[in-house]
Amino acid sequence: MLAAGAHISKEKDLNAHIEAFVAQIKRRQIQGSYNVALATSQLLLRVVSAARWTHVDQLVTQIKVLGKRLQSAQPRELACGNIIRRVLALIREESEDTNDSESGDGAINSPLITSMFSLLSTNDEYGPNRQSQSLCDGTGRSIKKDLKPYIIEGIQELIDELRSIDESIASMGVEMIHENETILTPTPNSRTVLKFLLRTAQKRKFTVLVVEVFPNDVEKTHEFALKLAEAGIETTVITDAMVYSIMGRVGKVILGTHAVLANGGLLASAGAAMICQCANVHRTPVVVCTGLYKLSPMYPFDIESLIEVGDTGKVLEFEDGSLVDKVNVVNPLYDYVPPESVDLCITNMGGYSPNFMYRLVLDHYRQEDTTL
Amino acid sequence: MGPKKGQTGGNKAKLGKQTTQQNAAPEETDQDERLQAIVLSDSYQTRFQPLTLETPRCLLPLCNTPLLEYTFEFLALAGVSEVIVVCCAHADQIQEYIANSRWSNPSSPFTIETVLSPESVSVGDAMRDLDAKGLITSDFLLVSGDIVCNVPFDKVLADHRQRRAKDKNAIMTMVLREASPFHRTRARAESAIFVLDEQTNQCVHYEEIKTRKHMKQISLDPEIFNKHTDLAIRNDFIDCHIDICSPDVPALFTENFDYNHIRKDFVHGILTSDLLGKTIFAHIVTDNYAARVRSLQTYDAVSKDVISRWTYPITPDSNLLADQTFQYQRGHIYKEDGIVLARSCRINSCTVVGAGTAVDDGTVITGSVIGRRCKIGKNVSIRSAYIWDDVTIEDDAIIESAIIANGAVIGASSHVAPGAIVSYNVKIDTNIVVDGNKRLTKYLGEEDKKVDTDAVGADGDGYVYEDASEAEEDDDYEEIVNSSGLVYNMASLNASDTSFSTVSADQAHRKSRRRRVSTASNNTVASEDSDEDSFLREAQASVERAVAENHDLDIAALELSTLRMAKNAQFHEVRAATIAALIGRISHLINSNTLKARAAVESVLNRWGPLFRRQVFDQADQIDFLLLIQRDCTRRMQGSSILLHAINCLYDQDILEEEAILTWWYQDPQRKEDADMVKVGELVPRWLEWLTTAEEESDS
Repeated sequence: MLAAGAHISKEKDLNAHIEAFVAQIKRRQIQGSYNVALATSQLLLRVVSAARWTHVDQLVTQIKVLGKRLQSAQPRELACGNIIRRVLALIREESEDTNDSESGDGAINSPLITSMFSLLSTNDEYGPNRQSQSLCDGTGRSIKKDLKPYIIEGIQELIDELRSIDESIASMGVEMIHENETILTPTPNSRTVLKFLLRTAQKRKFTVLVVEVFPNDVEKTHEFALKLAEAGIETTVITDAMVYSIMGRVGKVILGTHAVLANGGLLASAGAAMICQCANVHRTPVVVCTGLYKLSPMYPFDIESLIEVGDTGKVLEFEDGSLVDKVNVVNPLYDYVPPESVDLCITNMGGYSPNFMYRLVLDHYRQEDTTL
Repeated sequence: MGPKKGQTGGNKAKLGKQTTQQNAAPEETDQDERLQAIVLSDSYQTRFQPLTLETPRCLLPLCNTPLLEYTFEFLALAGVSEVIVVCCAHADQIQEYIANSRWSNPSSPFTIETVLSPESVSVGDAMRDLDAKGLITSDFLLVSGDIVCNVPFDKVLADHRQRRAKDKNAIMTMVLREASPFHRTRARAESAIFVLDEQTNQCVHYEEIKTRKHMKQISLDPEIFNKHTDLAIRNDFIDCHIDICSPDVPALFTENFDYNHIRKDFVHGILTSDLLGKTIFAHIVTDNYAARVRSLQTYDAVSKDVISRWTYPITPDSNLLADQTFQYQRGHIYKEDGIVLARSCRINSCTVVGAGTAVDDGTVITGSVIGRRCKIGKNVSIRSAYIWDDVTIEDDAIIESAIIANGAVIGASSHVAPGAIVSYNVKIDTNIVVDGNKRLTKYLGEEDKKVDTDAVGADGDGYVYEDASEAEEDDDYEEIVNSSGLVYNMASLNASDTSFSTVSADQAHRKSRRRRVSTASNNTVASEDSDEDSFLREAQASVERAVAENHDLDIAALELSTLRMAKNAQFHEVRAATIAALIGRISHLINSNTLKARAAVESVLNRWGPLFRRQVFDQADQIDFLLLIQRDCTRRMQGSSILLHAINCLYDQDILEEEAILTWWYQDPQRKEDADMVKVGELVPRWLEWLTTAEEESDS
């Protein structure tokens, strides 16, 4: 009884934790794809370590239900869904591995060869299955017990990967930027780009033009430029309108992104699409720096449903009563950049052409998880 | 399992620090001091009647989410750790709502507690109640249950705490949002003038603007100009009553039991009385959104602001309630899952449509909010209207800028004109025109009324709501009611455009005039003079008010002495002010033929004479007092008889002694200073005669 009580209170605790996470994400207290990804993976770590299951599919269902809940808290923050799918793929992989090895040994009896088998069965059929499992002795439990540490370890690895992602991308900078090159970057809110440039500056000497993406990131632009300048990089902040006139002198456009879609298209800060177009016209290469956690298995069938619309007050001053009453202001936070505009995606797995992104998606996610 | 759990816990702690930077600041301050918030769920107003007859204002839906949710969301953003909700009207509904909401769950970022204060009829009462209950331990956030705000609060709070650390007397910080004077989100009826020190943002004066009275001037204490070099006199704030208060504030409310309104009485009172030495600061917000739903006009404006995402991230598609499923579409259209839209219906920009609603062919909806499970028929036209849950609108109806509350039915081809309110479950028959100034309700209370068939049609159900209290209340109230309804009603706003523009012209004048004063009054002599003047005016007004509203004598006396100390006035001035007020009252009674001179004097002085006991002490005072009465009477009709009866009356009450009267009459040179003074005293000798004879009689 005591144990059961403790379990219930733990579950309650966990539930409170999830609810708090959902509220924070709605309130944008957790913001930015990196922070969301990290927070999501840590939450999943907790969930998995507290979860009890007799069969892996139950765990998968649990995580899927949770994933749906987290995803719907902020459907336009794709990183959250990405991490959930990564974890799901991880669980599936682990369970398949164990099943493979154990069926190889031939040590288990029939109701336990379930992973593939249960794909075809419906949920209702789990009932008797589970009962028979809980009734059955040692062997059934051994799978579960074996699996949990592996999954937890996998999630820990994922977290470590998230933390070191910027480093691994930054190390590729030397190959990308050559001496005395002029770099233009329109995404000053990207930590990845910042680290990329700072790291490269240790080996190379180059100039950075930072585009002041009005209205959402103006302050961040200045912080970003300051950090670059402090590191001894020749830095210039330019207004958005100047991009066209200056593009002819730019060697490369380096872009951070909010998300990468399965077709290689990007969701990057508003304004990025036009700058990429401009770069295309000048045949200036466009390089995207992104961690794999930003890679989403979604295709941009409905672009509008992916783009978040932000604070109107950033575009028009709320004080201006006469205008506020008469105009409708829309302030999209992101632009969809089509894959044709991008020349190269640098990920922590190396550089890929945007056309190749679908392959990375297949490597990292399971198709059955694409819709949570 | 044990060690593992510890490990994940550790991870979580790290997460808190690393990922939620915005969150980090309030968390840190929490460790020093937990921030309390007091939410006043009641508005102590009747502007939303008849809707608020059945639901408390803070539970009225704004864009399909109860107003209280927005307030709590703001408090969660502000990093509040303890919320106390003060309930008054409809307390049971509010308590039930809170108990069932996610804010009572363990995941809630703050603990929540409801406190009943059933007897309070104003903010002041609620504060006194809180003070009596001793719930407030540290600086707290005072808000009403109807604000919408996304201002990041750590900076405001840090500023406030810094000021408090330096000066314990900085008892309050008001959060004000800058906006142009005719901004839609400003409540027209409740604008006010703030006089702020430009450098420190200290608020040095507060004055409410009364739109109707065409107030042309405000008076400032010249002392202010000595203390502050740069003053800004501003009328461009949205004041949504978000205040950070120290525990002194409720205590001050208790001390000054006549304070009711937090701004009009409290802020104004604290700032005009030097005695208390407390200071109030303003925090001016220029970036984010802050507003309060305090009238129908602001309900309309704030709804529009929420829809057009000024309040980001608090927008409909944040789905504040757990069961909401709003999704954003281009053009500020928010739709929930499970909506049935006919192919030929049009949902235009700035519209919110709730789950389960069905819209039939040919219907056009523009800039409106539609609740859940509504049924909207064919060829209906809905423009900037607020339609709540479960409403049925039949074919060909037209609804413009109106509020249709839950469960109402609008018959086919009916027309609801701009400004109308159709309250809960009212049924309107076919082909009915509901005028813009009508408020329909089905709630009766104790009254027994028949269905108003004129208003709702033969098959309809409902009554025209008439505000019973409106007739009793004074002009101010009526003004507020009129202007709140009126502004909301856009059609009649146009008609009254001119009156608004004159207000603005006045304001412009006032501003420029005040500027001149600020340069001129650095002269100290001038400032002393006007100090005295202002005391006389205020003291007189205070007594007049006491008499008119029939206050307790003690209260009136206390008020006078507080004023005296605040202004550092002499008793001479106190006497002058009291006499002016009381004699003024007497002569008013006489002039209006209510009473004869004698009766008037007796009625007033028997009631209020004892006031002088605390103003007149020795013989010199009495003589001075007599002179003052005499001088005042020279200005009045029938002055001589008032003087006579007054002396008689006060003599009877032993406030004046015989000796003093005789000295005044026979020896004081000032008595016969000019012709008026002599003339007004013409009846006194007879009374003196009586006095001396009476004395002789008693002697013998």
